[in-house]
Amino acid sequence: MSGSFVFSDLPELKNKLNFLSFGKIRASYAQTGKDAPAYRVRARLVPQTTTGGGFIYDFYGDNPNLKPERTSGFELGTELKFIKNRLGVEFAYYSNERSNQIVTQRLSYGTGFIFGLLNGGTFSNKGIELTLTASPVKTANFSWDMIVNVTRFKTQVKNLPAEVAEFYNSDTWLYGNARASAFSSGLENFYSNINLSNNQSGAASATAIGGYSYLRNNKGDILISPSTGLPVINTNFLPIGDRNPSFTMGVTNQFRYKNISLSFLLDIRKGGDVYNGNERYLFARGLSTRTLNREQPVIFKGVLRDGLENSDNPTPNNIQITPQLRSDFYTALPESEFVEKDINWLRMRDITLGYRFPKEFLNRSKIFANASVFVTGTDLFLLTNYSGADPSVNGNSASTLGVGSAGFDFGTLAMPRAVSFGLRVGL
Amino acid sequence: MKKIFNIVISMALMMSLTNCQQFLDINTDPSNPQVADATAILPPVLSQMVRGHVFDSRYTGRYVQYWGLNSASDTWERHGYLSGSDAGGEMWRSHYWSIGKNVDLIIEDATPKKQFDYVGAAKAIRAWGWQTATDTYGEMILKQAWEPNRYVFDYDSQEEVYKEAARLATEAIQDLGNPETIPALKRGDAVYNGDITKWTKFAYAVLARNAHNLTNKATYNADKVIEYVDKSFTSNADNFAVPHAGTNTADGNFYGPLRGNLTTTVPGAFIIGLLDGTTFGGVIDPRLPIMFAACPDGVYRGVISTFGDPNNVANNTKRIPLLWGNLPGTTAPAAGRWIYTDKAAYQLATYSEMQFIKAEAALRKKDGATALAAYKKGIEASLDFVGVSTTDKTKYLASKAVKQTSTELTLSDIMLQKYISLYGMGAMETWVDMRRHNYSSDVYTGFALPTGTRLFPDNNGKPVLRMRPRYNSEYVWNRQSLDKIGGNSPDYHTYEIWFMKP
Repeated sequence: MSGSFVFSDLPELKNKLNFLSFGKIRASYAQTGKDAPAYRVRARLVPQTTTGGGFIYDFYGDNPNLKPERTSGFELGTELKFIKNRLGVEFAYYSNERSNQIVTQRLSYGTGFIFGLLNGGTFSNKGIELTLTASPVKTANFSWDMIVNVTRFKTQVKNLPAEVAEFYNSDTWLYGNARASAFSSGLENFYSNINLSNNQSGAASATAIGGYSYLRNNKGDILISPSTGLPVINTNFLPIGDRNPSFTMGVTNQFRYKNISLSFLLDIRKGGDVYNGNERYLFARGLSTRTLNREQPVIFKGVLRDGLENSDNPTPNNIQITPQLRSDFYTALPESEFVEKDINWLRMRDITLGYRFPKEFLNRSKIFANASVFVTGTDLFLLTNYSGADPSVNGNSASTLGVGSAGFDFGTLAMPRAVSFGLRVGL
Repeated sequence: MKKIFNIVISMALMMSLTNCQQFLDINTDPSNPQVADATAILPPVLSQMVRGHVFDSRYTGRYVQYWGLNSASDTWERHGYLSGSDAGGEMWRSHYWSIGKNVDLIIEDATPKKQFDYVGAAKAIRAWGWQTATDTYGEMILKQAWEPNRYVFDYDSQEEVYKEAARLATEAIQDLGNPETIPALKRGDAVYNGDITKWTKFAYAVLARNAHNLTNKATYNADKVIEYVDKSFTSNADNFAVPHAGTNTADGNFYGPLRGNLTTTVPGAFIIGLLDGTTFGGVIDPRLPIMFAACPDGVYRGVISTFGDPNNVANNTKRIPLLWGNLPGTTAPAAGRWIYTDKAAYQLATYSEMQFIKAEAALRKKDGATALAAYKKGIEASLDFVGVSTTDKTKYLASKAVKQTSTELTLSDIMLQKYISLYGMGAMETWVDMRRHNYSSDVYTGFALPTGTRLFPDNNGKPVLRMRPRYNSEYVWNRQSLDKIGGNSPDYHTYEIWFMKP
C-alpha cells in the first residue's frame, strides 16, 4: 500500500514559490508473510553408521504448530527540488518489524533435539536515508555536480525466539569464539551472577558481535586465576561489540571543464566495531607486533579469583609471568580484546579523469560519433583508525543471512588498489 | 466418441491433480523417513547408550584415578571441568537426544503391534538412561523433558529422577513378561538377541543400582537390594555387553586403536597398586599382565593423579606404556589389547558388579556369610571376564588378597575388588561408589585426592561430586533454570549430590 502527493502541483502553490520547483511526500506500508522451510514440520530420521546401522532422529526438532512469519514496515519520504532543480533533497524514514520469525534455534536438549524449529522473536529496524543533490556551478564551460547520501539505521531486538539470550549465525563463526549475534535486552536476567558492565555495547542489537570476554568481579576488575596468573575467561557468549556504524556517507563530485571531466566518490563511515581475527591468529602464534615485548615480565592488572574477589578487599594480582616462557599466555586473551571499537574510515572508492574528443576532431574521420579516453583509480587511499588491513570486510559472501559477517576480519583480503585506462567510442 | 474423450480428459485431470498434490506436500520428506520400525531404531540406540557412557568415562575415569594423562596437571585429574566445553556432557546428550525421543518412537511403533518385548526393552533403556545420567549430573530436567512447545526447562530433584528410573524399570519388567507379546525383539537386539529373561535381569540390575546407591540414607533397604541382585544377572553371559563391528571409527569400540582415543592415557598408580601386591600384602594379581603392559624395564607402573609420567621421554626404561601396551608416540598394535580392541563389546552392567552390590548390602545388614559368598562370586566373575587361567584363578582365590572368612571381610575388601572388576568399563559406577564413601582412604586403601594447588582452583578445596550439565544445552540455552539450582556457580561441580546425602 503506498501513496504519494506532489504538493508543489497544488494550484495554491504552483508557480508561486520561486525557490521550490518540485515537492512531493510519499508514504507506504507493507506486510508480508513467510512460510517454514520444506519437510521440517515433522522431524526426520537419519541413517546411522554405528554398529548395526539403523535410524535415529536428526538434530532438528519438529513443530506442527508453526505460524507464518510476518514482516511489516512503513516508509515515509519526501522529495524536494529547489532553485530550478539546482538543489535537491530526498529524505526517507523507514521502520520495519519482523515478528513470529521462523527460526532454527539451538535449545536445551530437554526438547529432545539439538535445534528447535519455532516461531518467535521480534526485531525492529529503523533508519533514515538522506540524499542531497546539488549543482553549485553550471556554465557552458564548467560545471560541478555533487551527490551526498547519508544512511543511518538502528536495530532493536525486542525479544528472541524461545526467550533465549542470544541468537547467532553459525556461518559467521570464523575464528575463535566470536560470531555474529543478536542479543535480547535484559541480559542481566540470564547472567545474574556475572558482571556485565563491560558487555553493554551490542546488547539488544541484531548486529552485535557475540564472544568471550574477561570474567570480572562486582567492581569490574578482571579476575585472575591464582594458579596461572592469567585472566579467567568468561566463556559465555556475550555482547563484545556492535558492528553497526553511527552512519555511513558517500560523497560524489563531478567536475567538467570543457572536454575534461573529473569525478570521484568518497566513502565515509563513522563508528561500528570490527573483530580482528587476523590479529588474534597472529598474536596466538607470536607473529603479531603486539608480541614483541615477550621477554618483558608482566603482571595482569586484576584481582585474584581466590574466594575474596567479591569482598571489600579483593587480593590484587601479584603473579608475575614472562610471556615467552608461557605458551598459554598467547591464547589467554579473550576475543573481546581483539574487537576494535568505533572504527571510522574515509576512503576514495574511485576517481575518474576523462577527456572527450571534440566533435570537430571526430568529424574529420567520419567514423565515430563520439569518443573519450579515461583513467580510473579504485581504492587509491584509505584513512582509518583500524589496525588491520581494511575494516570494510565481510568474512563470508554476501549470501550470508542477515547483516552477514560484515565486521568479521579473518583471512579476507583488503580491497585491491587498481588503476585502469579506457577508451570509449560511439558509432 | 465424445463421451470417451470426456472421460479421458477428466481422468488425465484427476491424475495431474494428485501428482500436483504430491508435489505440493512439503511436510513429508522424500529422502529421509519420519517414522520407522522399532527394529531399525534399537541398534543405534544401543550404540548411543555406549557413547554417552564411554565418552564421559574418559573424564570420570580420571576423577576416580582409573587412569591419567602422561602429562601433568590435567584439569579432570584436578577434579575440575573444562569451562565452555561440552566435555563431560555426553551422557546428557545421549539421554535427552540420541536415545531420547527415539525410545518413544520404539514404544509407539511396537505397542499397536503387541511387541511388548520391544516396549519393555525401550523402557529399561530409558530407566538406565535416567539412572546413569542423574548419577552423573544430579538434578535433571524430568517432568518437562521432551515437552512440545517448551523452551525453558525446570530442573527436578535427583530424588524424583531416582523414582522415575525405578518406575520405568518396574514397568519394563511387567511389559517384558506380558503374556500377549508377539515376539519381535530378536530382530534388532544385538545385546541379548531378543532374550526377554536377560532384559528382565538387566532391568533388575538398574533397580539394584537405584536402591543400592542410597547406602547413606536411613531409608536404605539392604533386603530389597539383595532381592533385586538375585533377580538380575546370574553369570557373565548375562552382562549387558554392546558389541562393536570394529570395521571403522564409527562402528569400532571407543577404546580400540582405530579410534585412537587413548594416545596419552596411561593407567593410574592406584589400580596398579591394587594388582601388583602393594595393597594386598604382596599378592600379585593374575589380572595384572592381562589388563596392563609393563614398562620396558619389566615393572608395572601407573601415574599419580595430576603428576603425569615423570619418565615420559623416549628410551627411558621406566616410561609407562599406553593401555594398548605400546609406548606413547608409537603406533598402537592393530589388534589392541584386552578390552581396548576395535571389536571388543562394551559392558554397561556386569554380573560381578551385581555380586559386589550384594556383598556390600549383606555386609551392611551384618549377614557376613551372604556377603562373603557374593564377594567371592564377584571376584571369580571378574577373573573369568579378564580371562585368567583356572590355575591362576584358584591360586588367587585362595591367596591372602582374598578374605576367606566372613569375620575378616571388610567394606574396604569389597569396594577394592569392585573397583578392580569395574576397571575400564565402569568408571561411572565406581564414581558413584567413591562419592558414597566420600573418597575415603579407609575404604579405598591408599587412595589420595589431589590437594592444595593440585586441586582445580574453582573447587574451593572440595573434591568433584557431580558433572556439570552439557554446556551447549544448558549453560547456553537454559541458564535461568540452572540459576535456580546454583548450576552457574563456579563450584557447582562440588555441590553434594542427593544420593550421597544422609
